[in-house]
Amino acid sequence: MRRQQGWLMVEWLLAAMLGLLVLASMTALLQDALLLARSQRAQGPMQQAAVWLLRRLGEAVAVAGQGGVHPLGLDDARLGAWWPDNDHGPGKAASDQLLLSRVAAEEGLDCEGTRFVAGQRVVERYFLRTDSSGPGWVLACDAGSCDAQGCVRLGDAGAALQSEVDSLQLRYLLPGVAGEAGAWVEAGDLRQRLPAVPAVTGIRMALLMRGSETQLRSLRWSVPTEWFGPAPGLTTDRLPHGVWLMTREIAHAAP
Amino acid sequence: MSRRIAQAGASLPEVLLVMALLGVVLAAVLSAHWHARGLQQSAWRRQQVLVLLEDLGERMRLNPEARDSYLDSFRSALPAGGGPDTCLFTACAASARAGADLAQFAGILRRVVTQPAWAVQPCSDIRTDCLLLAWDGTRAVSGAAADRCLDADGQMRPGAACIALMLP
Repeated sequence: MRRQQGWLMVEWLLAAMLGLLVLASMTALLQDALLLARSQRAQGPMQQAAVWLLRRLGEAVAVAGQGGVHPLGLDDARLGAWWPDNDHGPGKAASDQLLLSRVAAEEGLDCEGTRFVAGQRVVERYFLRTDSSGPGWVLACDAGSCDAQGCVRLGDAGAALQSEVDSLQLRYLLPGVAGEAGAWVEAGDLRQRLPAVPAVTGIRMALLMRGSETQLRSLRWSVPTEWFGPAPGLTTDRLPHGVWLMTREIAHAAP
Repeated sequence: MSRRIAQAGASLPEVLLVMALLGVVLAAVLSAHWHARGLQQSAWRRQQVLVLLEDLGERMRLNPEARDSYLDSFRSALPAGGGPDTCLFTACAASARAGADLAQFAGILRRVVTQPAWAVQPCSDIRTDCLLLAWDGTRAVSGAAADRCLDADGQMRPGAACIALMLP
């Protein structure tokens, strides 16, 4: 019969201590890695959404004003109800509304997916609203067209372009005189200049976004200094937040 | 007749060996995870920098009278930056607007990446100036060393934490 010999107490203690040390360090590393992975997984889609949205708006700005109309529709009083406006809509910080107008150079689809033909005046309105798809706000686009008889399909809820948008802010660049850089103004300032239709040569957009994936713990977040809209105040929640800016030249600026 | 089964537990060296092996495997898994995370974060930062540069390029395009002010700043060290863009709320001279644009750019950039640096030099493929923006230890210059943004031929070094923007 084989002789049975157990471990000494000191061996047990040593093994247990080493095991605990290894387990504790591995657990700490794993927890850290999981926290970081989760935080990064939340930031990624938010950034992708913001960049996509800014590019999408940038493309619309690039063609605004085609065909000799005002890029913001300020030359057409029939669009007055939908002109650009500041602090007009909902959001964590009251959002601005953007209206872009052009005469289509060729046929295509507007932001709601409706076909338009060459020569038609296309109008697209970008704004924040709530949506049945989830909590918070979505950036929506309401499109229509205008002709001598009037404007049609404008003023509805439009199509939701992107969810999890907390605020949209806009500034417009008025051209400066020689030596001056021009002035960035709000939509309200543009409206005050009417009936003289101001030329607008650029748009600066700021998006306040939030992620959909909750973090493991609540974090305090306040808007960074580059945010130029109304301050939404200090936020303490488990959602990631971010601000993205984009400036665009209005190539067809002449009204 | 009952049969006695010989009972013998694992010895301490065996247990330690198993734990060491387990540690090696876990370390390898974690290392792969960290590497993947690093790559993801690097891609995320690069996209942030791209958006920032795109915005800066448009700001320069909209402020053509201050082109020299922008270029002079690119030849100096990256400013500390930060703070709100004062020229967004008040009228500014062209050069003051350039300064405000660059201060905001630098402020955001410093939050996104580490060790940011810039330099301006003629583009290699077109007759205009290019802004080299480097970060994470990469230097915004060309040369043979591995930490340079461009190689000795002026071509972008693959994998370098660096982006070149063709200036308007």
